[in-house]
Amino acid sequence: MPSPMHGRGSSVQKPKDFKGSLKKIVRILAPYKFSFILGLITAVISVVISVVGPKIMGNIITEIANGFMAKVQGTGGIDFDKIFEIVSLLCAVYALSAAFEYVQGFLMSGVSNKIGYSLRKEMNQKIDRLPLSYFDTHAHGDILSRFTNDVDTLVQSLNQTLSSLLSNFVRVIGFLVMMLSISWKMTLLALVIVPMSIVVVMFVVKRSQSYFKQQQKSLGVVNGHIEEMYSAHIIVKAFNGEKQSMQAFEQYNHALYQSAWKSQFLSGLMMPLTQFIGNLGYVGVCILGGYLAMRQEIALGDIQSFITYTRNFTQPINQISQSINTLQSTAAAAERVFEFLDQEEQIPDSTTPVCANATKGQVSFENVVFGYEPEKTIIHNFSMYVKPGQTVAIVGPTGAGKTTIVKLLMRFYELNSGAIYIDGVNIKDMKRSDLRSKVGMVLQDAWLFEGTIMENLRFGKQKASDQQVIEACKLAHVDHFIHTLEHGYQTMLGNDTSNISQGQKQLLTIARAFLADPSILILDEATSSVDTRTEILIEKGMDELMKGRTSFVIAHRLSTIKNADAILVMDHGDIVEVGNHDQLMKKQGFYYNLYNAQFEGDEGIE
Amino acid sequence: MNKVRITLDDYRNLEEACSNIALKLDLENDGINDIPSLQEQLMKISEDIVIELRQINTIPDELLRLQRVFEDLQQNNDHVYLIRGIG
Repeated sequence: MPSPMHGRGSSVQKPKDFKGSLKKIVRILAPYKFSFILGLITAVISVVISVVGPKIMGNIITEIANGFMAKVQGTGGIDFDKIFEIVSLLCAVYALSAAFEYVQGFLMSGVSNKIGYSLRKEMNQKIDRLPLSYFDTHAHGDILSRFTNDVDTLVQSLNQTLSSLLSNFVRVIGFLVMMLSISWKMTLLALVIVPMSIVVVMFVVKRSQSYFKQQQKSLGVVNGHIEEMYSAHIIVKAFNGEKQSMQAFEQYNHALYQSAWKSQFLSGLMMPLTQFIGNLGYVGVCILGGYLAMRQEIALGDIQSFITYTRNFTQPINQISQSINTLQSTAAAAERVFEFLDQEEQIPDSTTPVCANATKGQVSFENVVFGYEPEKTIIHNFSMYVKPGQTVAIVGPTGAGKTTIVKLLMRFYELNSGAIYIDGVNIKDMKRSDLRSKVGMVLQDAWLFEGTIMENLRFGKQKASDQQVIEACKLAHVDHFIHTLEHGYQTMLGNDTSNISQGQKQLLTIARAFLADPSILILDEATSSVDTRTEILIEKGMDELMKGRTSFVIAHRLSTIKNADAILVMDHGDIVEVGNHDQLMKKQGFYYNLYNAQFEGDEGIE
Repeated sequence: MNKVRITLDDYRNLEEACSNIALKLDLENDGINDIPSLQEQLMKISEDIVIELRQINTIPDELLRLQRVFEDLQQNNDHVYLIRGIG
């Protein structure tokens, strides 16, 4: 029997637009309407057939009772042939009902899982078309939850809830018809208990809902806390944060416990209460049935049949109320899934993209205006022209927004106005994939996936030969390190690539950039998280890589900054100064102060 | 840095365009009335300049050849930053 919660918390949420969500569910069902409707029909047939069962069973009792009476009176005996005939009919009825139920299960699970499959596929494709700003404003856990919990809830619900709702509705009607066919007086008595059950169910549901909501909220907080603590457990340990983390966990877990036991206790009350009311009706029916049988208004077996119907009558009603509850959470899950699928997508690539084969690496920023939020611009009418092979250093304090320019160049974000040109072609007129193939990135937070070193390096150029990969590694000064590993280029990098250091990862990404051979580079120089020897190798590798390529360097090294053709000085997300080192020093502005604060001591070392 | 806007819609034919472009870009404009002579002078640009090339409406086919001229120029002369104007 499906619980109101389905054991999943996200399902308790009420949809903002129930009707709208249901319409969307119907829309996704459209391609499978034949199987789905057939599934519902078989569910109905299965129920209709099974509803007759108790009545047939009553006939056996009647036949035995009549035979027994005849034997007592000496006028005959029990007709076993007839009983065998009725039993055979009963077996056939239940077998047929089971067969239809089997077909229904087969069809409905097929349809619901196909929908789950296509929704996950659609969502996966959608994620590639969403602008980066979407991920800035939505927690990863929330997106993951839509992919997993919400789709799962939807699939489970389509599989069980809708057919259960319809089956139970038909079951209620069927029971009612059968009960009326036996005795309207007994039916009237039995029906008195229905409104009482409904009142109790409504009372319990109303009170449990608020606790379910709280439970859901608390569950989210606990999950978030665990995820955060797990992903950063080294940092937590390093800063002796275990106690603080445990205290926070205790607090969140306690809140979850409180809401969970209350909600589940209240929802658990529903069944015994409705059963109690049902039993009261059952007693009444037994008394009235006996009376009517004595008056020979009904057969003896009819009492047994009627009692079976009465006992089972409230069950489908309960299940209908639970199904409606589950349908609410299904609609809420569907709403979250469709909300994701209906998100505004990034501007599609130009239908007539400009594709320049050879790239020189000339980059022009023309009157660029940008803000992460439309009304809050951080780059105001910025223009800059970079010659092929030039180096642009981006400097600024931590958190100054140094990666903004990089993100704009890669078209991770759309400009508010203005344009960026690569070799005279507006990047908006290029396919994103073409643009990104022209630009190589070597970031501090090097991205490597689970696979061999060779596979990771080839990610930069799939068709590269082994020799080309090795050459690239030599240029990046990482070949020697790879040879020190037991399996060399075939060394497997773990899922979290924790088997090599941060600096070595960066060297590998430098090699990957060498292999890709882009004309424009984005480099993020290593900071103090890398040991001195590796840092020197990274510097050498980067210097080699930058030769003859237009480079945008998030610079930390004095030599890079001093030798850069242009320096972009950033503060609080804004470009505050532009010029070369000498020009900016003469200006005695923000750069001058930054330089004096950060690099003055390094001058002698250089 | 100098910035010059060239709107291709302003010209009726190639001869007029070449001559006017030469004028706008301060080129040696004696006898620049066809593409080869314009190309030759454009390659001589030795100071950084931003050329904004605009096309608002449909233009005669012969003028379309000028787009290619500027694309080649951008590829071959590092002093020229070509940008495309919109609308």
